[in-house]
Amino acid sequence: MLETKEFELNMGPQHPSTHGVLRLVLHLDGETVLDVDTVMGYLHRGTEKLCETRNYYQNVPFTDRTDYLAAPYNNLGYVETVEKLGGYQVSERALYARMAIVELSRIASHLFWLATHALDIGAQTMLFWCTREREVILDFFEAALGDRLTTSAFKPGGLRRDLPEGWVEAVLEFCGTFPARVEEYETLLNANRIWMERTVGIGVISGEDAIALGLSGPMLRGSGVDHDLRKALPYGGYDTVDFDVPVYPDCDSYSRYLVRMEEMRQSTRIVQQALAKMPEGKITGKAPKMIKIAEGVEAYHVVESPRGELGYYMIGGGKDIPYKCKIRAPSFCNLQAVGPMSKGLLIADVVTVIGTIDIVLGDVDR
Amino acid sequence: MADEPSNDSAEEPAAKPAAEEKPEAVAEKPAAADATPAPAPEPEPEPEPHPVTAALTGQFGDKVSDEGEDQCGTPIVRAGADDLTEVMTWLRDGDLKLNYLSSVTAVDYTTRDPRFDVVYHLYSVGENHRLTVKCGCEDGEGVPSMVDIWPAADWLERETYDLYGTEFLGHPDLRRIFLPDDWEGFPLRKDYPLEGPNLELLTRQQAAFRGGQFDRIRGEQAINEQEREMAGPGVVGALWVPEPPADESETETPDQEGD
Amino acid sequence: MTDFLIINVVIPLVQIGVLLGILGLATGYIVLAERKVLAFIQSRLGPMRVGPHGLLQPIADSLKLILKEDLIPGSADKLLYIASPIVVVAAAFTTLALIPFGEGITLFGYHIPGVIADVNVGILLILGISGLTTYGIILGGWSSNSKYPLLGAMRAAAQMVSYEIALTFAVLAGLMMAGTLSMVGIVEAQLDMGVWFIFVQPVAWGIFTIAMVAETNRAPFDMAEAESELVGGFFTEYSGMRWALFFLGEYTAMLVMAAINVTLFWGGWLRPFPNVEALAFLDAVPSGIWFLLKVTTFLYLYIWIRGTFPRYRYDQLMALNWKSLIPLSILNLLVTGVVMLLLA
Repeated sequence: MLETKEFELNMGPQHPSTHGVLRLVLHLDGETVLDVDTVMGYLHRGTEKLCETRNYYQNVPFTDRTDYLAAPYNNLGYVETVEKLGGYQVSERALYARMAIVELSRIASHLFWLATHALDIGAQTMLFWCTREREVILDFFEAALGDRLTTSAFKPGGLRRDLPEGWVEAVLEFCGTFPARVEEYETLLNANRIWMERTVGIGVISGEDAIALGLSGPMLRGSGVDHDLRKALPYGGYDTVDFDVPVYPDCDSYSRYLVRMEEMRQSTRIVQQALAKMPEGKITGKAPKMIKIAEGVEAYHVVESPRGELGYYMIGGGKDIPYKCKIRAPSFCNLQAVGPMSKGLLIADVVTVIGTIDIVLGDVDR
Repeated sequence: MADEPSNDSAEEPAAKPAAEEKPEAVAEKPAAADATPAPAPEPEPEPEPHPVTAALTGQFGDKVSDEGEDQCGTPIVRAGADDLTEVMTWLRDGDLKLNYLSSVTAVDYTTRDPRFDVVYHLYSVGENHRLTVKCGCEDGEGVPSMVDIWPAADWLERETYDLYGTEFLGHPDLRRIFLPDDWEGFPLRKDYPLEGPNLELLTRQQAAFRGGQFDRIRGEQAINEQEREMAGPGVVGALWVPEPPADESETETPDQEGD
Repeated sequence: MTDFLIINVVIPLVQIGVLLGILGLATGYIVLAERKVLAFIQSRLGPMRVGPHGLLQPIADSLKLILKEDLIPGSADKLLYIASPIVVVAAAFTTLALIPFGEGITLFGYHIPGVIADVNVGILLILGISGLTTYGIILGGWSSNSKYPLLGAMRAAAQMVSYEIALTFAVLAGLMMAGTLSMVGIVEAQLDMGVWFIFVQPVAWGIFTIAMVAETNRAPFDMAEAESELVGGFFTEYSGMRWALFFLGEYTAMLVMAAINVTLFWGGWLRPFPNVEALAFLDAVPSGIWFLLKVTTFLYLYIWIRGTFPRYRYDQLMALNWKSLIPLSILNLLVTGVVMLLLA
């Protein structure tokens, strides 16, 4: 009998499939994963510390840099928290404009998730098909917000400036054609034998475990837990639009894939409704030029970002800077599942698992 | 919650219509000028406690104290470190069914005793309500770990330990998660300088800048021309903080980032 | 004597020279074609900068690769590290000598055959030599003394050995029809039968096509490289010209496998329906062109597959081979034998 020993493989921080600077130390028996050590922090920039040194308006760009694939959603989470702290009113036009923008960002984020997830599994073409549509959305962001990736889209009270002329029509036109594109992706993947073999039954986590581990977003909904903060604790006007929350019970990568594909369609619906409901009027809301939150006033506000529960816990300090700003990052909490999910799988499946968790390292490390 | 009586109106701004903010902002001015933030005094008793809080105090009596609600309407309670495990276990398994640990963090109050608050944000996925639990923690001491109750606490507590240095007793693997293992100090503490603990590591331009504008937040533009040049374009500008307008009345803000 | 020299030395040398000369360029252009076709599938343009429509891209690429610094990892086994890409390329090039590219032409009174060496055990030799590629890959992965290449090499070893079985069984079915091992003989047998073997051996062709993709380490069976898992697999540590040699080997192997496929199942250099007199006008097209057309189709198939399918997982790949392809190929062989026995 030959002597065998455990094989330690460093996956990352520079690896094509760790989606950034995540490092996994895989303990392998052959190619079977026995254990996973997750090492992170390579992108830790101390966002929370920085937020304690800048005023409430200046902090908005920091939030872009956390989950940079869905920057508007982070902006939304932050500015809504500030609005809760200060009790500022958002104009109705701003409310719906925000909703449309963040749902577009959800589509963009899911598109890029699909692109990279499929690329990890080897379906190269998806990368280009998905980025093709994502480019259009980024163009919308550029037109309306002045930037494509780190949008710094909102400010407490509303938007920085009104939407450009013709923007709404262009977005609606895109929303008209987009569901057909989603179907196009699905023809390439949904019944693809290799895709199914690579995702069905891979990265299984039960609904109970998912809740206990603090997973959120599509990770929960792919495990059969019907939970979406947009429905559960409506914020930002989500209670006035009509959409479905896709839930699939199989707990594996394939059902999370199905959840996200359906979410893209639902987001399209939300964008259409939001733009239809958006009234004329001022888009800049009512908030003082210098926001000061009294000492001890605190809020923990959560929104459903494309990756899951994004929370901002802020405490006022009596000055124009927050005393404390904690970001509850969905990627960070979801990443905890990488160990339990990949035990007993092969190296190739670890790649699938990382992909299906949909992490953004900026969000994990902050 | 309230820090001083004159500031009462700031307590519940969420409930106030926007038009009433003018007196509030004026009332805040002396608070902002106050250099050292006073530690929060005893919370005022709320007339009607939140049902979640009521259920909790009904179960544990004096072990938990009601701290009102935050601006999102989430009830806040405070528990002692000794009772924390018991309270949390009941919160998960009891009537409240708070099965989801959303976030763990700490707050550094520097001068207060105990220095830290460890803050747990709980949520019930089925019942759909939230609860914030706070637990005081003195520097160098710890609070019991929640890993056995919510596995989610594992990394969240490691993160809190990494950034605040609050110990979590009974945590299976309490080591730094973001920073290198040999890092000194805990960055999110208020006495930890933004540039890092080791001044010698600062580059010359950073040091010059640091000397030029000691108070990063409210600093005067005391930096001289030579230092400004050394700091390079944009560095000083990026830290420029607009003076509070003389008239603090509610105005529409065209573009704060424009400058 | 002069005739003997010309026929046995000069003509083969010229053929080898021409083949190698063309091949160096052709591989570059296959890569360009791959990038262009993939770009087309992925709704983008592909290389456009160097020359019109990026036509000079291969030259720029090879210049870059040649001029790159030659890096050898400090802990690598130097001799094997240097040797393994050469093994891969040499094995791939050698097999080319056995591929009949056409009927041959007559120049200056000498008949130049369309094949450099018409060996009577041609196909056996091709399979044998191309099996050497595996050694190059294993040695390359092992000698790098690094973990990802080692895993890639392990995968390559297991995968290529396994798929060789299915591949050989599929070839055997064709050989039973042809009754010869000579590549030229196989084509001539198809001419005699008046039908390409694809029409009598579709199952064998299917198995061969799947196995050939696996054998050449191409997507969706590119386990040994598995860019997103093993970074680059066995050639993770390679760079510059040595890396380019692996690349050259891979694309030459693709070419060879496509050529075998065409020779064995699609009538080699024969025009469509070689025995139908009504289509005799097709003979105006030289036989070499027919061959190249067919090979190009298969190269396109390689790229098309790559653009369409995700990558198999390592164990699924092996399961596919051992649980489906090999039993099926043996069954196919059995049925072929029985049918031939009954018809004879």
